[in-house]
Amino acid sequence: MLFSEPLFFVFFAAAFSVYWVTPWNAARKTWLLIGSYYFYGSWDWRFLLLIFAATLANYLAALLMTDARPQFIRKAALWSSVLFSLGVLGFFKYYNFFVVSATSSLSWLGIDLGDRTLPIILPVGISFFTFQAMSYTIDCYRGDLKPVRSFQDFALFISFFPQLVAGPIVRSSSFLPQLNEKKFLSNVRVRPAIVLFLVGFIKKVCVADNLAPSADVIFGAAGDYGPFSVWIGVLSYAAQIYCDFSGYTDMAIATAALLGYELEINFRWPYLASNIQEFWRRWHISLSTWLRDYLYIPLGGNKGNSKWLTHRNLMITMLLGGLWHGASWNFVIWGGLHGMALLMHRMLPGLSALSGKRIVVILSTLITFYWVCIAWIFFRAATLQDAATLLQSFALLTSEGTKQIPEASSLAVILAALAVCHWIEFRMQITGYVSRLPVWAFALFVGFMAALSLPFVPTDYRPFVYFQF
Amino acid sequence: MQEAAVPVGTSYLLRFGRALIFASLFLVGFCGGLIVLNLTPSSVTGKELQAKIDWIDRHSTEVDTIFIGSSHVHHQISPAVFDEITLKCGNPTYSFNLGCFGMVPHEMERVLYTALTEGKRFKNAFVAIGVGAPGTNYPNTQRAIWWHDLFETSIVLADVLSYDVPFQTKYGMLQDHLRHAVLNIGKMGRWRSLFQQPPDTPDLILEELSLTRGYSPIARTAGNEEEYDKLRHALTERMADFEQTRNKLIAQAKVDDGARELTPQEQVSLRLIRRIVKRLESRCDRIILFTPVGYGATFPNLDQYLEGSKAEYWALNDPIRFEQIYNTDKWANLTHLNKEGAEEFTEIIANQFCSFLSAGAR
Repeated sequence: MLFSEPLFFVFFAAAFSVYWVTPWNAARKTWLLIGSYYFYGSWDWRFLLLIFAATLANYLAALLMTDARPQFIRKAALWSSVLFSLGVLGFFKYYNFFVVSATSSLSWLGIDLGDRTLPIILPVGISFFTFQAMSYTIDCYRGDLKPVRSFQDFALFISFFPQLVAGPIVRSSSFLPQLNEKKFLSNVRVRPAIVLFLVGFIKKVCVADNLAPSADVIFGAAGDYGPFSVWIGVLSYAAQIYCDFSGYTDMAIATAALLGYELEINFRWPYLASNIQEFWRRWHISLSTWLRDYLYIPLGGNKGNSKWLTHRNLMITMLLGGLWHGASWNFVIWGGLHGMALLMHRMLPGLSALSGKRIVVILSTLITFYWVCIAWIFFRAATLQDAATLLQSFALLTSEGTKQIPEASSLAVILAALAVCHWIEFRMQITGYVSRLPVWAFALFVGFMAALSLPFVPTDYRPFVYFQF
Repeated sequence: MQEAAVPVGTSYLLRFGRALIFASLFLVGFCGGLIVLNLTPSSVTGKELQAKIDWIDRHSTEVDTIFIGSSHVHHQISPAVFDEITLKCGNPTYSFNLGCFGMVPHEMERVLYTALTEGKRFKNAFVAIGVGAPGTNYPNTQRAIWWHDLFETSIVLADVLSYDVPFQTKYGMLQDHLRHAVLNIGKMGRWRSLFQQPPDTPDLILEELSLTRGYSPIARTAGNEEEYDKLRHALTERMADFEQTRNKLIAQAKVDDGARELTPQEQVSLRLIRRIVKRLESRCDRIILFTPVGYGATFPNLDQYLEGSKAEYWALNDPIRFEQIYNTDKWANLTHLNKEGAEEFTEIIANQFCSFLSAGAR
């Protein structure tokens, strides 16, 4: 069930109505939990067993971590829950990847192990809910959070349907307290939520899904197209993935807001970042802060005198962050490219001194975006060879391919128009004005805009890009 | 028990009322948006059908006779043969075959509304009719989306609602039509068309239509021998099915003496036929409704329901009257005549038309 499908609107209308008509908070949470399990089970009911097992394991582990327990029990509970979570993630997401990598390395040494891969279906959103569960047990172990007594509350935290399948990765410290707050429909800021949902819908369905075919064409036949087409394809993908993922997040935040829950912002104009560090403070914020708090800092972060250790920690974090996205060396290289850029940024502090000048900001924003696009090539390409071919066209403007992407110049104009819209929204926050319209004008305007968006809605549904992660 | 989470004094009724007003205003805005969208150039149907509509548009002063229906018209009626016979019998015509494969009755109604715009007038309109479900052929194609405009959708939905089928089938049909209507009215996925004029049918295709006049027989020609032989082979392989259908028709023709009541399905079809007739009456001198060879069912005594109108009904799928056409040599597959059969069938229609005129028809 996708946020952009009519079925979701029916589901949400039922979830929303019953939720707000129910007068008791406990009953509301039960209803939300049932709805969330239904939502997740609509992909494949077998996934429910997995999410339930992950919930139960982390819930029990956290209960063993109360202060009263001896340290070794607390530690054992933490390690067993972390190993369980990583084991589940490793098996479903990385088993085949590591097996293929190992068998091909061994065959290079002359040892043939045959095909050892398994027909594993990757459960939707596994990376998101696993990370969410891990952060909970780690917080409990650290003493930052008291283990939650109610299994229902914890199960709802893990499975809360608006953000279950593609984030944002919610922190237990911000979500669990919300479960015990009394919620009133009159406190819900309905208009901003509706605008946010509509913006997310337009980003995903009207922009991302319409750009996807252009990107698919280029990435599907890497060597066939000339440099101009490759540029259009890569830029289309950059716009597609941003609109797809941030569109999903907008819809998730809006959906949660309509139920009285506040989720943290996940994107803040990432392509307007003037350096790569800033980019990571604006792109998939919930993941980058998770990696910072649960990987980079435990590795040592930038504390201590050794620059080498800081750089190592940064690189490990980015490589694993890349691997989190999927079981492929392409993702590792993607993380590595971002890691390299972050190291460069740290190693050249003189650049920051220039950042006050307008022209420098514009140039550095363009350079940052260019680097991000280069990294996207590895992120999207099916193989390393495809990525190398596209990189050659994109970076060196040379290609053996001569084919031209259909409607290339129109696409270039559309991409430029999107960039201008992006910048205008950044500067003027037009959506904010819309939310402040009088109710009658707001209803008319939103209805009107919803109708005008229809011609841009493709007739086939495309799943969100981040569902595969 | 936990404390109720609703603040004291808050009226659900008031909230519900506000939500209702909000939803109504949203709908008003939404409809306004749809109206704006539909002010843009009108949509185009499937290529083949659009070419025929465009051809009629350009030759409306020359054409005086049209044939419309599904593949049983498209493949089975030759305007050239028809015109030759009418010329011989002293009532010359210049006819055009507006039939298209898979055309369902509601699509036909929409085509007629488009082709017979103000100022166009025909002497004769031959409309193929049968008893069929108010369904859609070629779902999700430009053609199926095109005929689901607001007007035709409201008609087809009403017809589905009064159709006598199990709820699940009815629900499926409603869903199908509504989906097409949303695609049509919301111009979904067609943002490019907002900024472009609908494409014109290429002159080459229009010239070709001037030669064939819309008729496309199923014949064995150079280049399609294999395909045609496959069709024929499939027919001879299933000869028992063919004969069973023919015998069923014979039995039905014997029983259907016009005494029985119309079934709910036939009543739905009748409503549609009456609407088509009403539409054609102001644009055509003569309306001939006919059931072509290859259609399974025949309306019993349809004439009695058309009294007071210009329309005439001919059941031309009668295997007793037109026995010669039910020879398998004249068929290309289980339901369609081949070129030879089609031309013979056209002769039957033309001769019946000549007799009809000489008998002093309206």
